[in-house]
Amino acid sequence: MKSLQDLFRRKPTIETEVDEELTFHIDMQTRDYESQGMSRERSRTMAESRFGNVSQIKNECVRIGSGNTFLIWILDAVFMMSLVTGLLLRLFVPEMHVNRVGDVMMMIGGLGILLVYAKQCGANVFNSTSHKPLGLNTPPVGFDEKGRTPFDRVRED
Amino acid sequence: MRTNRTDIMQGTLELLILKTLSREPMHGYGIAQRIHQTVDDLLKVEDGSLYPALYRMEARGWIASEWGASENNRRAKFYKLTRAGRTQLDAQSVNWERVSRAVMRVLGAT
Repeated sequence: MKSLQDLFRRKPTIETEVDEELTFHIDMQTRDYESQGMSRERSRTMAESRFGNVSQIKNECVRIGSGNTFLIWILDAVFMMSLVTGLLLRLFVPEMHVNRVGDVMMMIGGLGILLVYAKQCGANVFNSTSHKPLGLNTPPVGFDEKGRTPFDRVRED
Repeated sequence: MRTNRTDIMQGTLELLILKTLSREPMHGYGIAQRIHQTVDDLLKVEDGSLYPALYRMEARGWIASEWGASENNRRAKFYKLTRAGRTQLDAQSVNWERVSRAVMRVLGAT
């Protein structure tokens, strides 16, 4: 599986990608300054200064990008263990009730891996249209739908 | 260049990015350029601060990214708005209008 193959090389990939992305930004800015008549060195210095602390920003991006990866790593591992345990129970333990447990574990593991893999491929399997990330769709506390503050409401009601 | 630029408020950058991407997919540099052109130096938006915001928004599912070729044929990461991002843009725009109306009301009160 692609997600499992990527387990041990994902973080370096994220680092490389962030690095390439930030370098692209600074290079483009440098090119823009050069086209305005600045020298190559001056353009580079200006572009880097305008960008900010490159290594700090890079680390922050890698940290944010890796957070999701760690969760997926855990999910992959749990589902894979479930699948393997189920398979072993099914093959090597002949009792009927244990076979059923093995079937269930294999089903959970298999479906879980499929879901994680689908998510990795970009499918929106964990989001619904009514999902409200971090509650940001909720109006700020204190304002009602007409934009009135609690003070306005008490005064008008 | 104006000197009295205002630091951008937390959360506002995300709204600006969502709005910018609602037109077309863009790479990070393109997003930064578009925002700078639009706010006309009234707001201080540091180019570097854009990227952690982009990564956060991607983790929340508001935007999706894909590597492609830039206008000068270099490999660049392009971002596009997702359906969840469009919903978020609508919600944040409504919130922004509500808050600014409330602030204006307070400022206008005698």
